[in-house]
Amino acid sequence: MSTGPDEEFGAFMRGRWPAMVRLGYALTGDVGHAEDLAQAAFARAYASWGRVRRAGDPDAYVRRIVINEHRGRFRKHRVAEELRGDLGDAAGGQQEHQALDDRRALLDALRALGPRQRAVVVLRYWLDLSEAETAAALNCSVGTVKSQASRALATLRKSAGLRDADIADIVEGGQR
Amino acid sequence: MSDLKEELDRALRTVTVGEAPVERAKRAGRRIRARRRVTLLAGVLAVAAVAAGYPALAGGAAAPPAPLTGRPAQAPSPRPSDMAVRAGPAPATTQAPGGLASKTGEIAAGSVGDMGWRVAVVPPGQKNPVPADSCYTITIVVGGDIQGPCYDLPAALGHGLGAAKPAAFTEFLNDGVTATTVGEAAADVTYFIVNFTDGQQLKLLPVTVAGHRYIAWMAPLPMGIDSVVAHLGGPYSDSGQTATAVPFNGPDGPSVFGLWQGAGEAAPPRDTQVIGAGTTDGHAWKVTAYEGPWGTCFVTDAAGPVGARCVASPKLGTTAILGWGDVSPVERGFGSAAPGVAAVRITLSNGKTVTAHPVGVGNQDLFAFPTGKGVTPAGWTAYDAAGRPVGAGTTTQGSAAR
Repeated sequence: MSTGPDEEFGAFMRGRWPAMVRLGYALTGDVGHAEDLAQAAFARAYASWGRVRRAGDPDAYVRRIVINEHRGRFRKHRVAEELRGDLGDAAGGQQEHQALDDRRALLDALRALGPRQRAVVVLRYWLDLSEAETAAALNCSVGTVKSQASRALATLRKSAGLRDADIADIVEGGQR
Repeated sequence: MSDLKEELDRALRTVTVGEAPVERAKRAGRRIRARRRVTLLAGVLAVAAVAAGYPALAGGAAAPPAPLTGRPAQAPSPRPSDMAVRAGPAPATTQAPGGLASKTGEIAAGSVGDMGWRVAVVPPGQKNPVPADSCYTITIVVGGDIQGPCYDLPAALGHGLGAAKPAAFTEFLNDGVTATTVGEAAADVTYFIVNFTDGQQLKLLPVTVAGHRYIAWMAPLPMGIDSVVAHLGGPYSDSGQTATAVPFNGPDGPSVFGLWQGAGEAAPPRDTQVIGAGTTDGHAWKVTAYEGPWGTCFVTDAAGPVGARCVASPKLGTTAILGWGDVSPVERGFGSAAPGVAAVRITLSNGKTVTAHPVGVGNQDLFAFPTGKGVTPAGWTAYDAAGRPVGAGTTTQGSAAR
């Protein structure tokens, strides 16, 4: 039995909601803001669902809206963001706690970056966008992406959560 | 995958995510759609006002400037259940000697899927944007009624009904979801059949308000219009004669009408050419001409397609400036050249001149040129290949000499 556009949208949103919230979190460092961003993006997708669906890649469409919404909010509020931890508590042995500490440290380091540097890291190294795609998504030049990435990686290098070997891998192999 | 990516993946998976608020997103999406429609209605009103101030097209032209997208006809799209269209005369219409008439001004009502709509025409009066003109309102029924402003109807219809033209249509209102068309019909039209690209049809009877006959319909944007057939005779008598308009269709919105043809008339050959391109004030622009059964349509690209304007190409063949105006972020004009014209020098309202070279498109020679912000073309001189002037004219005269 075929499903209608409403059901199709519902299934799509349920399936992609966690990924979009996590993208929002990576960009904002705040679960509340992340859910706001994701919900706004899905609402926009629903408003034009016919076209979004026909375009063939609704996931990319919603992801782009999340990034654009974040960019718009960042532009409107060029202030230091309130950063707080929202990691779930993990139960388990010492290894699990260590792993969680590492992840918490990485997210802390990410949150400590400025909004633009954080966005560059997320788009460039988590979403695997090229320098040109990252520049287009953030409405800045490729040179800005390079300089912001360089500074962000230097900051992350200092953090306890990221090893020097990781940075070397990014710098040597991550340029496109 | 870099280690950082893996680390980020692992770290972000620890972020606790609640259940997807699907219904809340849908409600917000519906609000966006409704706001978009109302905003768009206001935008079109502004465009219509601008159009009223710009005699944009020379004789035979079809429509006022509007921020529209246009591309050649696309393949039929599938028809989901929410794309079912219905339209008919408004309930308050009554039979009169000149056909259906409406005292309340409501001319048509219908639905797209489960969303209702009504269109009303308001006769000239103080409530109108231009008190001397009629205007029309579109009401969308989503839970309650959302009524847009009243658009200046003559401005939206461009030059309106010409001789032997069964109807003139407003350009579509592109809200990203649906499109509404209002048309004025000639006295001899019995009814119209609107054929959509997905096979749906609407039969529309003109309704008279303040001495003019109107039709209206709303449709989802993706459907596109294959053709509109006017059945001729009189308000209550179909003579069997028809005239057909094939619109220039765009997947993102407007179907623009330029040419009506009687049965057996040969359509202009299909051809597409870039007739002008450049960079003005740092903005790249390009004008492409599409010739075909819709007439000749000019599509301007400036960071994406921003405008489609169509004219009935059989009326071309002389040198004339056909249109100009703002298609932000650039302003450009376009025109047609008589056979043998190799260059057209256009004199602008700021005293500067620009030279355009006509390009063959189907049976026509067409050209485009930049004007500059707030600048309009004032006149033109045509030259042959040897550089001899062979004609001149002004934008108010249209063509002159040849």
